[in-house]
Amino acid sequence: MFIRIDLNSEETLYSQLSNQIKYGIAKGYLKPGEDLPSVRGLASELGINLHTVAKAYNRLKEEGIININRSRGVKVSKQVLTNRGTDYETILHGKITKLVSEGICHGIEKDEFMQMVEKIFDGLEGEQK
Amino acid sequence: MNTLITGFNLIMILLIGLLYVFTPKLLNRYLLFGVTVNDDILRDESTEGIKKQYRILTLAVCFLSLAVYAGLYLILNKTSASTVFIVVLAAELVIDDLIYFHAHYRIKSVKRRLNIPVSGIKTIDTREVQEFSVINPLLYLVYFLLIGGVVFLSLQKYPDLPEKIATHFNADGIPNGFMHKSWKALLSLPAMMFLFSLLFMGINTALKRAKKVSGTAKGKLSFSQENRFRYLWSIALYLSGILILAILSAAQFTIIQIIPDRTYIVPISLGGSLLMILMILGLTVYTGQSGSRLKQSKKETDIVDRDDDAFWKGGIIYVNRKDPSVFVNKRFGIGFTVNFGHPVAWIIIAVIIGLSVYSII
Repeated sequence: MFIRIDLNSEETLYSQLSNQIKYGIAKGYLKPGEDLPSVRGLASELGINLHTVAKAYNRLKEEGIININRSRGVKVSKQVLTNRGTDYETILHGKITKLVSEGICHGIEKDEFMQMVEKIFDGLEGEQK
Repeated sequence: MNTLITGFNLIMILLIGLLYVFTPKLLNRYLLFGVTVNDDILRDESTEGIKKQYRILTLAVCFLSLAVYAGLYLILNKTSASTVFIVVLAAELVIDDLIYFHAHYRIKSVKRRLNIPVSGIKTIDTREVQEFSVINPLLYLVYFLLIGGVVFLSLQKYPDLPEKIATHFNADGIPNGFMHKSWKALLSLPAMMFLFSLLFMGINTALKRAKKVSGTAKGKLSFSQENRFRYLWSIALYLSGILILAILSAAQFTIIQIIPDRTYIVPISLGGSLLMILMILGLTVYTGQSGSRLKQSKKETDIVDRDDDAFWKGGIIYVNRKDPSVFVNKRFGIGFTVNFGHPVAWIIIAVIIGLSVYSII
């Protein structure tokens, strides 16, 4: 899968990186169990600091999305699409609350919001199979 | 014998001059004179002029150097021929570099005039972040076996050698440098061969790891091109090492008098060097930098490289403290350079300088 990093973006590099990997998995570009580049390899290829990549990978590991193994390298977790992890609903609830509040502030209606979510779901899952 | 060396020197001046003339043809078209460019810059009127000026000037320098060398060779005493060669070659390199810098800064000013925004976007393919293939490092064992053989023969021959051994010969094979018979005198060439072998093994590893810099606004450099480029160059590197070791072995055999006829040493070293240069030149024309002249695989990737110009001083020296890569592909020229923002790069430079100083002394 392609990873796209923008140095001029306001979003931090490590969150760009972890979001890109999550998007890749959701879109089906990255399959469960697939190899990911090593920290050094990815940092070198992108020309960014090792710590930035390590931070992104560590966050993803904590979320159970990837596995980091000394001998087998970095891989997308095999249970990535099925395993929820503890308390994930609460975390997601918090995040969506923020988004909905922000939407309401900007005058987004409930229907509009729901349609948007549906579209995004269809777009991502359409390519999964 | 002098005419042989003069001929060799003329060929060297010609080839180096032509290398500068044709370097732009060997590179990715979106890296013009070390500057990241896009189609707008390439289509600009002045760009064509800058390219043409570079071509004409470097070609003029090439023929001027040939003429100056030939002229000085005829006018001056022939014994100073090698000094004249070094001076002319150095002048040729410096002037060609100045012409490059001139072109580099002119392209930069075109880029400024057109107000091209500095893109910070870079895309990579996660499946292509891997090491490149090079020849098996175990093949380098052959080098050390060869050195072992030379050392063995030298030690066997040691008792039979005279008190004063000839260690330096002029073009006609007449000894003009002597050393007292000692282990140091006997083993200095094998020691140099050993250091060369280590250096070549190091370059082989660097070929495997050096970061590719496609440096393209709309790049389509595929991994397979780059990979094939690296593999071919690692073979060429290995063969060059064998040639260098063969030349140095021949020199050692002359010193320890296994080869009694000293007149062979000059043709052997000139022929060997010429063979090596031709091989490298042929490969350069065949592959281009990063394999940009090799056939592209059908599946092209839309790898976009961000505008890294700020990290490339003069388009030649790469300084990026955040980048963990030590070796990176050159922007102008064939091969790779080091990231001067990385401490390991400085250690490598120090070792190479130390090695050259050692081999001169």
